[in-house]
This record gives sequence, structure tokens and C-alpha cells, in this order.
Amino acid sequence: MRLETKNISIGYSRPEVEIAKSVDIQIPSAGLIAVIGVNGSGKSTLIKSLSGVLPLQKGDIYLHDKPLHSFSPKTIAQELSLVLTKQPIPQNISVMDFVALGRQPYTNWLGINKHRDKSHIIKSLKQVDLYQLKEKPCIALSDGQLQKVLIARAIAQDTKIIILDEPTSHLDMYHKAMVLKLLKKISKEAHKSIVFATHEINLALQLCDSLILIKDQSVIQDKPKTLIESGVLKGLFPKDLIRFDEESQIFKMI
Amino acid sequence: MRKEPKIILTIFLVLFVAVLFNVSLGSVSIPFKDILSSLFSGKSSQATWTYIILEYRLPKAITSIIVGSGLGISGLLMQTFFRNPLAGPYVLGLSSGAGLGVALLLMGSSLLGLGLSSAIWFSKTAIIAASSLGSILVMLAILITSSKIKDSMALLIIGLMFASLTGAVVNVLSYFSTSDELQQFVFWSLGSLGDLSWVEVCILAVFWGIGLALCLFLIKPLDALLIGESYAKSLGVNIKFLRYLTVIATCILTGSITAFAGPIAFVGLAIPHLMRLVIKTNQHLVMIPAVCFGGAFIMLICDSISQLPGSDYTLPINAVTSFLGAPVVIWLIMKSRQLNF
Repeated sequence: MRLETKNISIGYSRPEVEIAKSVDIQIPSAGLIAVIGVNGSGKSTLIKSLSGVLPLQKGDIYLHDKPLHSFSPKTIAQELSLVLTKQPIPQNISVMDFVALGRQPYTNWLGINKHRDKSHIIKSLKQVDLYQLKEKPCIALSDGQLQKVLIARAIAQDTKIIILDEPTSHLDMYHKAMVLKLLKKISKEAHKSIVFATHEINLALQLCDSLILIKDQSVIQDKPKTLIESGVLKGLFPKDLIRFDEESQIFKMI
Repeated sequence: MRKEPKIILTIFLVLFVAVLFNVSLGSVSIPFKDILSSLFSGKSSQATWTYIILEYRLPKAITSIIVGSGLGISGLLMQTFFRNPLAGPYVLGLSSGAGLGVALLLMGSSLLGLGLSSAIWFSKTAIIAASSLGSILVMLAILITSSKIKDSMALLIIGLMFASLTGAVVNVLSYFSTSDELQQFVFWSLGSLGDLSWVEVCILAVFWGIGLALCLFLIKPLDALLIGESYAKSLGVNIKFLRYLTVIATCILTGSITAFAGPIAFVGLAIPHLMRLVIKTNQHLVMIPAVCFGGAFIMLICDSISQLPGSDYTLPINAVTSFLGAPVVIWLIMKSRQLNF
């Protein structure tokens, strides 16, 4: 396993809040994995805990079968990258400069990009199809383009694992599909493990190799098909407005 | 990218011309030829002229360079660190700490019944010592709080509260002090670049050098911090180390400058904004040298103006920096329609 949690509890200290306990998640060496759950169920908390930004309440995360805290911050940054959608970024930073920050774990103490770093930056911009916009300031981009820039930065970081927090929020239906397709493509072609939190359960069911479902402080991970068959999706939301249609395998309005 | 050597050479030339311009102005008019000869050979047609230039004007020009660049850098560090365009070198409450130290010395000594002759207490060295002590106390308080507090914004508010607290004590002291003492304190708070001996300039330069050297280690992590603390952490930045180093560098730069030159207003807040508008980047590898140069240059110009060329009067430096700087910043922001932050 690339990344694995063994019986961890996630949450916050001061005031002490436990979001979920006995979480066992396994992130295999390639694949697209979605974290789903209702609002406030703890998707972002799980994303932050997995990426090491938020300290765990109990247990350990294992990276390549070794505890995460036994690695140096720099090594972790070379193995695991993070994409946060809700974070404001400076208005005038250019697309190129933003993506270039992804090379920090590899550059020297002054942060100067060498030839190899530059080729990584250009490659990742081309991979998300934004190379022609590289000089633009981030504020001039549409939400869809900005999301791609955020993903390009993570690609430039050249990590085996990419963790994303709601990469599809604020996007229209087409761009949601586009971003998820892009993630699928990266996970397949570059053999990366990609974990993302999302509200797009219908798209995730069609596209992902595995789903992590958070409900009532417990976390279940399984293949989409198994989750559907087990009937656990039926109880995900209150039953008065939407229900899971087993025939078409998507959520529908009543 | 063979532009860099040219740019650096131009910068040094411009700075050199600004120093010459600054040194050639003052209440005593000295021919330009004598200025050059006393600067380069240490001799001129009159011994007093040489003395004025080498012992008074040149140290003042060098102090201007140190003050302008040091405060500019502190402002840049604070703005990036707090991710707040309103932050400046004094947000941590350092100038208020220094102010408290000086106020206690100038106004408090008679109040506390220290029946010593005032001449000893009001000497320049005593003011520098009091100001440093005040800054150091506030710096220690801030370091202790920053080790307990994880949130940068909370640190910002606490810094403002320290300023408020010390300000209150200064208010009480000024209420009970005599008009002479009050005037002395007001003069100190207006800032002054002159009156420093070579020894004092050298001491200030050592602190300035240490502060700038620390900044070199901040270039890369501060770039990462531009996009947020979580991102910086995920890029391998040690946030705790970054916080300590930023606070220490700012305290050393701002504290020493305030001790020797008083609380110089405005430059620390404005120069980073000015330089961002001019060079249109946020990268600290470019910004730190740019702010260094910009701060030094603007301070030299402001000091030249404060000499009121052709007259016997000098204006307080704080009035000049704000009077000149504020319209320039307003104009630049209006021109580009937005703050490059």
C-alpha cells in the first residue's frame, strides 16, 4: 500500500471534537479514489488528516509501510501533494509562478528553478492544457481554468499521491466532468494515487476505482459496485427528497 | 536572462548618485568640488567642510540607507507573514515598546522621584538604551506568545494589543510630565536620521546585516506562504521555524532602527507596495533586493528634502516620508486600479 491508515481517529483539539474513529483506509499504488459524505460529515477533515496538515487524535498513517511522522517534511512533500480549493490565492501571481511553487521540495535553499524543474513545470502545464495561458495572472482565469492550475501545481510537485479537497466545487456540470476526467487520466497514465473529496457522487460512482464513504462518524471504503450492492448508499441522505435508483445506479429526485 | 548584471550595476549607480545628492545638501552650502574631494581624499579647501561631510552628512546618508532598506524589508516580511496588506514593521508593537522605554526615561524619571540630574538621563546613549530595552521586552513577549499561539492572525491582534497597552502607559506619563519633557519625547517620536556617530552607525549596520542575512533563509518559505499556510506545510515548509525566524528578523531590524533613529513612520508599510506595483512580482528572491534598494533610495530622497535645501531649517523626517510618500502610493494605486498583493 502507498498510503494506509490503521485505526485512526480524526478531529480537532481545543475544543475537542471527534469527527470519525477507527478509520481504516488503504490507498493502492494507482487509482482514483473519491471521499463522499453529506455536508459536515468530515470530508475535509479526512483530507487534511491524510495529508498531514491536521494532527491525528489517535493512531498512525503509514506511507510505504512506515509511519508518516518518521519521514522529514521535505520527503513527505516529495511523496504527497495537496490541492485546496477553498484557499484564497494572491491575485497577481502568474499561472507559471504558481505552478512553479510545486517544485519547492526539490529546489535549493534559495528556491531557484533549474532546467529540470522548468521542464517539469512546462510538462504539467501542458498536461492540463494551459500552457498558452502561462503568463496570465491567476485572477484573470475562469473557475474551471483556475482548478486546472491548482492541479497543475500538484502535478509539478511530482508526487505519487495527490490529495484534493473538493476540486469540483463552483464548477458547471461540464467542467466538473472535465476535472474528474483529467484526474482519471493522470491516475492512469502517470500511475498516481489520487484521493479527492467531492459532492459529485453520481460522477464518482461511474469513474472511481474505489470510494471512501463517511457517515455517522464511521468510514467505509469499497469498490463502487460493492457499495451499491450493500445498499449503504440508500441510507446516505434523508429519504424525503432524493433516493438512490438501483436500476440506473445514480441518485435521483423524488 | 543576461539582464541581471546590468540591472544590479544600474541600481548601484543610482544609489551612488542619490548618496552624492544627499551629501551635497544641507544648511551649510559647500561647493560640489569640495564634496567630492572630501569624500574621496578626505581633504577639501576648508577643514570645517570636510568635518561636516565626513562626520555629519555621510553617517546620516548611510543611516538613511540602513533605515529605509531595513524598515522596507520588515514591512515586506510582515505583509507576507500575516498575509495582510496593512501590516508593517510596527504591527508586532515594537515601536510602542521602544516608545514606552523612552517615555519612561524622559518623562518617568522625575515622576518616579529619581532625583538625578536630568542631563545624564536625557543623553542620547540613554535614549538608545531605553528604546532597545523596550523593544527587547516586547520582542520577548511576542516570542513567548508566538510559541503558544498557532494562528498568525491571533499574533497580529496580540501585537496590536501590546501597542495599545504601552500606548496607554505613555499617555498617562505624558499627562503628568512637564512641557519640557513632553517636547523631548515628541521630538524623539518624530524620528531623526542624523546625530549618529560613526560608532553608532557601525553598531546599527551590524544589526541590519544580521537581519538581512536571516532574510536570505526566508526567501523560499515565504514564497510558499504566499499561497497559504496549509499549502506551505504540504510543500515541506516548517511553519514553526518560519514563524520564529520571521519574528526574530523583524525584531532585530525594526528594534535596532527604532532605537537609533526613532519610530520612522510610513516607509515600512509603503515601500513593499510601491515595489510590487513597479516590478509586478511577488517572488521574494526579487522582492527582497528590490525593497532593499527602493527603501534606501526613497529614504535618501526624503532626507534630502527634509534638509530644506537653501534654508537653515530641517523638517522632521516622519513628516516628509508621509507627506511625500502617501500621495505617491495613492497615485500608483489609482493608476493600476488594484493593489498587487
